[in-house]
Amino acid sequence: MSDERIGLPQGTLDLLILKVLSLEPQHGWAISERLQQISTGVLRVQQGSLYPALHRLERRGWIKAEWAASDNNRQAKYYELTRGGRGRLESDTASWRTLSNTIGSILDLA
Amino acid sequence: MLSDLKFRLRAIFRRAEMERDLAAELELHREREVAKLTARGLTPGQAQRQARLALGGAEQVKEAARDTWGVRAIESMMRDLRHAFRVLRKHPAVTASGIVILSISTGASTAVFTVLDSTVFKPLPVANAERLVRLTVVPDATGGGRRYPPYAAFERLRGLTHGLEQLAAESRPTMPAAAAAQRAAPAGPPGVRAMCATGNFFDVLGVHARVGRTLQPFDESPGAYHDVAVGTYTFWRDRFQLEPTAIGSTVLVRSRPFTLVGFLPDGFKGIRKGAAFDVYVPTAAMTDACLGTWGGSSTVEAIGLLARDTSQPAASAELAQLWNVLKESGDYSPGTISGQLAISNASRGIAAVNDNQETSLYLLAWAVALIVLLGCLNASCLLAVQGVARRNEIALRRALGATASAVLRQTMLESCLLTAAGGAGGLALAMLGGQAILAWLGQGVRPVELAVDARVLGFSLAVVLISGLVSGVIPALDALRTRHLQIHRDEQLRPFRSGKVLIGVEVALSLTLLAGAVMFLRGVGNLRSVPLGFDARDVAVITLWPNFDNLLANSDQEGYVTSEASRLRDRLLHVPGFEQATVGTGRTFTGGLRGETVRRAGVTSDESVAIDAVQRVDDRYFDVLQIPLVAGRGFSTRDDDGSERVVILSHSLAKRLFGQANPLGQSVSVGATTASVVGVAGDIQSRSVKVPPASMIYLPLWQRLAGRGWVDQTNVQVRTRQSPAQVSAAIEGEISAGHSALQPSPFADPTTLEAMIGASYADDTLRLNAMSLLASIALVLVVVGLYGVMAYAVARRVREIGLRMAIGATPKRIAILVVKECATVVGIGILAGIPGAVVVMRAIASYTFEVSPIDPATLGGAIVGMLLAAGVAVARPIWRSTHVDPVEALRAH
Repeated sequence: MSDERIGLPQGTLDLLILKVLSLEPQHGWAISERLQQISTGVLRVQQGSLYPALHRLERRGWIKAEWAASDNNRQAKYYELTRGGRGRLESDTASWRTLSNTIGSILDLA
Repeated sequence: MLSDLKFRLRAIFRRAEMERDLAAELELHREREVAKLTARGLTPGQAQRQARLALGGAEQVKEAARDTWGVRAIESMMRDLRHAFRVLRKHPAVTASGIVILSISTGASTAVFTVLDSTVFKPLPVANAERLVRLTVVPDATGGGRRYPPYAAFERLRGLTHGLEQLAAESRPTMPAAAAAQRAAPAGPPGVRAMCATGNFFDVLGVHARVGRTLQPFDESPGAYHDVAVGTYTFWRDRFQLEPTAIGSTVLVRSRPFTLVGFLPDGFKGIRKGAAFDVYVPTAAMTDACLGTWGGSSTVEAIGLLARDTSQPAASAELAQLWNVLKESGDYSPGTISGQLAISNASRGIAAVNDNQETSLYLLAWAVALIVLLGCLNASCLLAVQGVARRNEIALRRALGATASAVLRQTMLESCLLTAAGGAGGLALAMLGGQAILAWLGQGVRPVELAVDARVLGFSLAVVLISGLVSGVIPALDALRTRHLQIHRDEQLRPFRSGKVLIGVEVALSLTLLAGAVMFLRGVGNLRSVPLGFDARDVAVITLWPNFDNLLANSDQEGYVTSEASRLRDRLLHVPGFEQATVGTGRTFTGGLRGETVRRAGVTSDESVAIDAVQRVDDRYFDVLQIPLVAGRGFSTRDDDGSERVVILSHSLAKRLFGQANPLGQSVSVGATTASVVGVAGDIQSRSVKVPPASMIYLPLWQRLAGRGWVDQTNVQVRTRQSPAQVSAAIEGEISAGHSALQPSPFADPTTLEAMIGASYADDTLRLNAMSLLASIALVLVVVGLYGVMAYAVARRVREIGLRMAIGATPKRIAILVVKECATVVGIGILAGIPGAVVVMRAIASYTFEVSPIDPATLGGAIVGMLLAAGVAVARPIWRSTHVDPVEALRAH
């Protein structure tokens, strides 16, 4: 286990999940794999914290869940972005950009 | 928002499904992870382990997921509720008695509220309710009850006032018009029950017709009133099945046809709560039946609509001024416009009970509130006793990490559950209780409908909640004081203090109720011992009514009635069992013409003296009633229209008119009649035993009172041991023999003088009965509570008592020990209750007859009663304490 991997800042897991789901509906394990892949192993996503996050997003109505057959014909719970979730993803992305730019520029100044 | 709610609802109601989904989801994840790792070349065992590490503990993940479902609070609440259910089920005796006690207290309070709400409180369902006021005449020092302004003055005021936008009136017509006419031919139009209203009445209220139109001002334009009627919703529904074509139909009021022009909306039943009627007719169309009378002139019950820019006090001041203007105008005889015109808020309509009954209801409400509090305390006691038994359990829960708020919530939930069960039982009792209260209030209450509506439900819910919290407080505090250190300590070392405190408070509260009951007892005793001035024992009173069918043929109707009446009297003297009989226009108690004035002949009307009643009586009246003649003579059959007009004054009236001078032979004017005084009779109580003796004027039955119509009712009073019904039957037998001018009155049942006197202070008797009943309930609650607590206290000390006995204490010493304990509780309770009792006694002194508010005997009586009840309660625990077997006690513990 490499120590170079960094933990996720508070609240960003939701944003990442929404981003992953914006491409196509996925089940839990696939989302976790996908996160590992795109972050090329830099991010350390606690697999255990993925599910509470998914349920939280579902309760808020940003994603919806449906049981469907997966590639090897097993029933899996697929999560899909809702219209509200798409809007949320956009606004959260925008505010994350602003935040990271601002913090970046402050750090550059110093 | 919606998705959130849906999600949470699913988490509550489809919990198993959610759990299954979660488990399946995590299982799939683990499988995939294992498959991935195996594909990378790990052995199945390593892959399993690695996957589990990556995912974390399955239960922790599940818990974290459940936390996001947002139903934690509800879940723990449900858990607490289940726990509370189990606890209550585990102690069925405690639970059952708690529920019974709380059912009684919730039921009683809801019953009183329901009755008060439906007879007094509920606002009128009309648009202008807030601006409605009611006009009444408050008499000045001359006495008499509240009454209504004269119709003529009402008409004048209508034109003069600015503070009131409009003046309108609703009045209940006299009996024959109020009752559905039975004489209507079966095929003809239906006879209906009428209510009178002025043309602007519905405008003033802001009520619009459901169909057709309401009464309008043009319906009562002078000389051109219309015979129209507006039906109530229920009448429309029951008689015409809500057919709009019913408009135009004819109905009969007092055999007179009225045309239906509209129907009122559902729910509007007039401004009199509980009034039963079918149609409104214009007051102007039937003034003789719609208007009341006072002192020979018509009166009307008026309501007004406050102008938007004025306040009630301002309008009141303006009307008082206008009233004085009318008084001084000289257009009205002094008897008709007197006193003060007052306005009062009428937004709730006119109560279905009279002022006295309303007061009784308020007293009842206070007493019942005390009962509710006692019920709570008793339930609290039960829970506290049970709580002590559960100290170990609570200590264990605290030790295992239950927070103070969790324990508090738990005990509060138990008490609330108990009160909720009690409340449900109480609601069932409430409607029965409400009917009982209405029956208890007795005559004169209009038949209101009692129903469980939102207001009643809200009230009982509030009672349940408050009871739950109140009865939960002490047990909760007890539970909080439990520390886990005590888990292994001897339970008996801690005294059971809270139970005794509760019982002390109960004793104090019941003492106040008991003191109230004793006050009413003494008040009624005082009423019964007022000297009446006549002998009321064994006097049956039968009221007769003119028989119009036989009268109309006669030219001198009044002469016919009086001669018939005296002939009837003579015949009655021969009826076996009738000792004596007398006839007259009024009953000795409550009877006679009212509103008259009298003055010495020759003086101006300014010196008129108001009198309570004018009675026209026959020659035997004073003998039969045993009213002593203080001076002069009684009447004889020769005092008829053909001879000199004579009058007998009551003693106090003679004093008022003539002072020390001899009244005999003097002349007095009663209204337009002048007569000479031939006798002075002893003072009697009339209408009420609570007021000074009445100023009475007696005229001979056979001499008419000029200007005062004719005799409408005749009363026969018979001294006999027979029942009023028997007497009435005998009289009916006598009068049906011929074409009599008399018939039994359809409006007054045969009765006795004593019953009438009792009825005059029925309110006091009712209050006494209600207070006695409630005080008895309170005493029973105290006895039950005291017994429970003391029995428990003794049971807890069995070991100690056994030990004391083993080392030589006699049963007597043990008994003294326990008696001391009881005496402390009861004694402190009584001492604490005395100030409360004194406050209650002062508060109700004005409702009792001549009872001193600071009467040591009353308080003493209440204390003795309380001590007796306490004695009953503690007898058994004390007996038990002296019969402890030391060997058994020490072995068992």
